[in-house]
Amino acid sequence: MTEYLILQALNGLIIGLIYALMALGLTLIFSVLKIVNFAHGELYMLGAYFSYYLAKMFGFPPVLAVLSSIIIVFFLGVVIEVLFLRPVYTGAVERKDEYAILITFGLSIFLQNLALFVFGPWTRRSPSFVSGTTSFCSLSISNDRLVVSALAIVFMVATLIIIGRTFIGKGLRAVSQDREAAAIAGINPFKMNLLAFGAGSALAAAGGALIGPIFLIFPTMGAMPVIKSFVIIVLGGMGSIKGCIIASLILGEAESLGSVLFPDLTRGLAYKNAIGLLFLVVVLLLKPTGLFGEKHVRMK
Amino acid sequence: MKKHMLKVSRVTKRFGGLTALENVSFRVAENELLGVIGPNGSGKTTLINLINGIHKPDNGDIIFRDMPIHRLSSYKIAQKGIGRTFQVTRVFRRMSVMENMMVPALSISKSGTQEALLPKALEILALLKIVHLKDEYGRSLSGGQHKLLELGRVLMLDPDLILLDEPFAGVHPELKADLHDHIRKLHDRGKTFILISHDMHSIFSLSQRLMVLSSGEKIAHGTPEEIRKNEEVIEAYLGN
Repeated sequence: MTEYLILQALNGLIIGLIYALMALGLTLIFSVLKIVNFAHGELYMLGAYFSYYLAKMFGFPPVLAVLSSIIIVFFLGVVIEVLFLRPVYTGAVERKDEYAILITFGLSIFLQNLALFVFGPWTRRSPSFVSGTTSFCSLSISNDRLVVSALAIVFMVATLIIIGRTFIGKGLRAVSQDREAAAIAGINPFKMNLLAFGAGSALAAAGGALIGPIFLIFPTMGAMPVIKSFVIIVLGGMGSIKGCIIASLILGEAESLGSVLFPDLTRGLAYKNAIGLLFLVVVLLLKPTGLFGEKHVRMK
Repeated sequence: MKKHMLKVSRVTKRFGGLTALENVSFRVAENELLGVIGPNGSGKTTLINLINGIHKPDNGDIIFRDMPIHRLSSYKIAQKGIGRTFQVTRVFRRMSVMENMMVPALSISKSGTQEALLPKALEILALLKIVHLKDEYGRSLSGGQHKLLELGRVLMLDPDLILLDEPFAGVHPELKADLHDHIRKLHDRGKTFILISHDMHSIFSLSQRLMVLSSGEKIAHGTPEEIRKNEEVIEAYLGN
């Protein structure tokens, strides 16, 4: 039983890392653009498909396929921002919040149906990064899961370094804290929007592309992860990057361990998604701003 | 005669039915320190918001160094050499003092590295006497220190024209004296200022010329001595 629990904890960690990538992207977009991107799950789905086709049809090595897919979705995000979200910031639309909700929600439905039309309803699986399993003591874990974890950590650390250490990261953080004050300091907020939406989309694609060899790829695969990403960013505290990563790992573990520790093991898996939501309710009751959220201060 | 750096011509700004500024015109010469005074709601902050692009005028032109800027975005105006501080300070609270200083660097760095701008940031922080706070978060500073940090952030852009909106409001007297000193030094180094303040002692002692706004209209301009004796100004402040 102990070995089984350890294995489940490892699975929870891997899932948590994928959630973290996706939620990090959503947090970046929310922090800078102040919009909730309902199409985030579809960018995750496209990341998985692009990686799959690059590997299967064009013979890209799996890791290169993942990286290429991330780059493609980054530029797709940039195009989406310019075409659909820019009007929110140029004063072209009057009811900005409603517009952003409707446009991203519409985009989500459009991309799902486009994927259904182009890729078909069949499930697919990307080629393995490294086939086989690795054993530690008496535990055995698939090499794909280890590679996925390592790459997820690399992408996350790279994102944190860019946000924390670079000029661009400072610009993004400044715009996320006070758009007007950042502009007064000479930062082009439109450029920051573009970068944030592109990078957020790329992070979603990274999650989808990495999950390809482990789980199945299908047009609606992003629907549940995006809901979980919403749970994570609220749980971690809206806009908090640290909170987002920690909440992702907590959610991954809560779902993984919760389903095997559930009193009725035959139903444990069915309650997996409910466990995360229950956890969210409890945290919000005790700390309404989320684990690391701050009371919003408006300085206008 | 000094060349005019900023020309504001017949500027009007309305917010719905409220006219915040009506047909206001004035000029600011190179290295001038112009004070703007007026009762609450007279349009002083709106004027600054128009100059640095937060609001766009409904009518009129704003020309900076022979270039119309009234349709430009705030960040472009900042890059052209106009910096400002806010009445209620707007430092980046979840960034350290040094990070706050480095934010404008994204738009001014020629080399693309932060290291190249660190000495400049440290020099400015030292000038403002807050270098010891460089690793503190914005949120942990006092109100007065926020004012100094905001001024420091403006100086990172090395602007030719600095707009100061109520820099002395809510500041400890000792810090206020420091701020006076900094403004004077920067002015001596060639910077041009537009200063808004309700602190009459400060603004009369610092400004070379004063402009008075009341209910969105310019009612007087002149030297501090002339303004002190102007009956229309006295009436605007004290009533009949």
